[in-house]
Amino acid sequence: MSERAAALVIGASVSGLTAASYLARAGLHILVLEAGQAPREPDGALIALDPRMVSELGLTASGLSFAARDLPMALGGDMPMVLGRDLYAASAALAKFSDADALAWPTWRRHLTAEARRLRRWWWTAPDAGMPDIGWSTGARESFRRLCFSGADAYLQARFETPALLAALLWDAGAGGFAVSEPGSVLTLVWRAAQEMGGLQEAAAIPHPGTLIGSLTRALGMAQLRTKTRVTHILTKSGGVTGVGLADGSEIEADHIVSTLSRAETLGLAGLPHLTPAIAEARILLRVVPDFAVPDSPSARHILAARPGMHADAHEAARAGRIAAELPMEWVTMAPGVISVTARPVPASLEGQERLKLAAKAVLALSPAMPGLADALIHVDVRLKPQRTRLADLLAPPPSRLLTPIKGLILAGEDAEPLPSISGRAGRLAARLVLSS
Amino acid sequence: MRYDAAIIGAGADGLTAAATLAKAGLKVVVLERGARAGGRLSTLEFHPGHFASPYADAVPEVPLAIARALGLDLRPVDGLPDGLRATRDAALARAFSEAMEVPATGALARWLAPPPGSWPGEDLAVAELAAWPALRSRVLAGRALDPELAGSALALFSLPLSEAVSGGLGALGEDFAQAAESAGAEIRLKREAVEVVIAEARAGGVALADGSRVMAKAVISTLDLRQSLLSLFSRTTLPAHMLEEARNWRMAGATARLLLALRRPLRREKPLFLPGDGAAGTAFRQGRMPAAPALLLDPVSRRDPSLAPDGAATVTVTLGAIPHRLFDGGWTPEKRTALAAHALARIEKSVPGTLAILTSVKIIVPPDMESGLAATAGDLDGGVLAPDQMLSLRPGPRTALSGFYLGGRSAQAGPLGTGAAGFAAAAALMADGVR
Repeated sequence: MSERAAALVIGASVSGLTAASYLARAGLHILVLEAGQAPREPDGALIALDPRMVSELGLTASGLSFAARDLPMALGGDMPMVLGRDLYAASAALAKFSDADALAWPTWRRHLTAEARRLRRWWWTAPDAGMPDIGWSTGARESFRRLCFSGADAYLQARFETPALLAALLWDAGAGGFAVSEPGSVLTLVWRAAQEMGGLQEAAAIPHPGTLIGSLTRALGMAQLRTKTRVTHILTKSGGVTGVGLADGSEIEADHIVSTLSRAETLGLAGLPHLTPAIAEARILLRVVPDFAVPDSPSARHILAARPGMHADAHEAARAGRIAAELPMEWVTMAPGVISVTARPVPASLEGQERLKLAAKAVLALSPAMPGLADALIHVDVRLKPQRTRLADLLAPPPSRLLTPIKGLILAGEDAEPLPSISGRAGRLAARLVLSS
Repeated sequence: MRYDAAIIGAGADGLTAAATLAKAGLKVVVLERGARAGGRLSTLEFHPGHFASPYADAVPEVPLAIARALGLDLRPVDGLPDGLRATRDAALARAFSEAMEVPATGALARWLAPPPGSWPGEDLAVAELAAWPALRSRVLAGRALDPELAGSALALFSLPLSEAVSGGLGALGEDFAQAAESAGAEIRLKREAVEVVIAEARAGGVALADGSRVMAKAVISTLDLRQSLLSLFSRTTLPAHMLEEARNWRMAGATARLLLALRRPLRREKPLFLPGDGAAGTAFRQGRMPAAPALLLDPVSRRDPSLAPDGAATVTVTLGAIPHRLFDGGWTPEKRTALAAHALARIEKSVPGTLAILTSVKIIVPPDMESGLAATAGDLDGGVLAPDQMLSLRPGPRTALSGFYLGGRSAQAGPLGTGAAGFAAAAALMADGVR
């Protein structure tokens, strides 16, 4: 072996660069190995970008700025409305379709926020074991238990009646690959509420292109970034990591590896048995000609889901290996001329033709709001993110999401968060785990 | 005449409650809408000489204590792994002990009470039925349950494990009725309860469809939660939260049954299960007839020869994920026939020669279950067996109205055993004391 580093980071993503920056600050010799040509720009809206990371790494000072923050949820179709942080504005928007829903909305949001406040601490800084409700009052525990065991479809239908509203809220409940009738799907709503609680920085946000990755790269300090370096296997010896093997045949020695690949991919590289989930979230990036005006003002995350029942149907179809006829989607504008569409759930294994069909479906779904989109397209990229979160994963203390059976191999990918998301938090926690060992 | 308890419904739960209370020396009356007692425990001669139980071939296990107390003759169907059985029995014991415990009244007592621990079996609320491949078929038959979704494993508690030794479930129903009568309970048939009479802010009797009233110190309803709370009371009588609970209670009948009379026994001796096709749930939710629903074929006369004439055979087919309400209108005779034809074609493919020996088919769809059993939407479980409607989150025998108890399938112990909810309601009534 020719080379040695204190720790290796696989993948120059938001989370990978965060981990590397923290480790480099501790004076360790760090290498970031990125398979692509350049660090990976986030391909969708950030959810709750870690404010601690932003301030500790001084990202704002080194160029981070946002194109849009605190994105509200926008519903299109026959019942257009924008639901933002302002409870009364949202309630007024709902009043056009249902008085009962307009009345129920503020009460429900407050209730959700109260639950989120209790659980927030657990998701951020939980101890190594136990359950979150230790020490809560009996009433709070009962309420929490009901939330844990309820499916979002029944839970929401008991509170709201507007189909478009139900369909949009169920979109959020399906995060992480939950079926909307499964226990845990209500907690995904609580999780999102917890993300939205800490102010503008923490809600769904879109950075100006390049500024987040740019500022993180500047924060790397002594850490070294190597692009076009693909890791083909992770070397282990007696249950601990010893280094990685690269595509060009060379090897790098290290005692610690932080991987921003998914858990399944990482364990695969290490030669361990792993289960790849059967369903996935698809990220479809659409690039359009610069003069094509995307109707996204004010910026919002636009939910394309009209029928509350479509989420359960799409889940069943995805598990059977089919793309559902009616597929729920969300889109945001990442930059002028770049639209990021998220569609879920879809089968985790889709061949080239099927991916193309999926992209066509997304374009078709966006077309009513964007006439001429198909003609304005320059480039389409489809990425699949296999995911199947369970209630237990959502309640697991952070270390259990980050650690692997191999000593020194730590995960910091999107799926190391309670629900898959780009926040940088997993990177910071991974760095802390490396430094504490 | 004033009874100590009036029980609405003479099914297994009502009769168990009646027998339990009568044995304890209470004066009990059971009010039954139909012409016979037994509820779903019935046997139908659907073709001369051919008998079958229209609603199910077997029912969730009658708890041993109830079977013994009532002197029932049962045949256990081979069953639950020991671990699961122990968990279910622990859940049942918890339901019974909570029924027997008079709840603390007053803010101080409630505040001092230790927090309730988690229920046995709660871990199944996040488990998938698919993990028990051997039991899957009997749980899925007749339900719109997705075995790959978390929480589906809870339905294992309702696995059908008890059937009559001879004469179909109807014989078992007669045993239940006899046990109640010999204990001293009065069973009044063709008496339909229409309203619970309120006296001094508690349940004080039952008004019947014929205009008469039966006065009682307490009332046990074995109807499902929706019917109990939404049909037996005028809207202003119950507190809003009870009505809200009943309105949000999810019921979904999904069972269709075919009773087949065959000239000769089938070549197949064991039950045959054909799983659904991965789109059955979607069709069910949209009110369409699924192309290939889960199907369980059970040659019942192999186990109980009394169900068919000598040399002939009776076979039942249970289909799951069959919508109660179709999107394109009611269950017309044509749609029923189409359903049967479709199922028979699938069966013929797996067991060739079945059609050639078929002499008669009786078709039962969810609306038939609804009218036959007064079960909302034809739901035989008294409410979807989802994690938020099971164990601690299923309503207990006591309600916010004193003197009014829930003792049917919708109640906590309902899915855990046949007659269990009736027993729990009786236990709660006795613990609370009759004024």
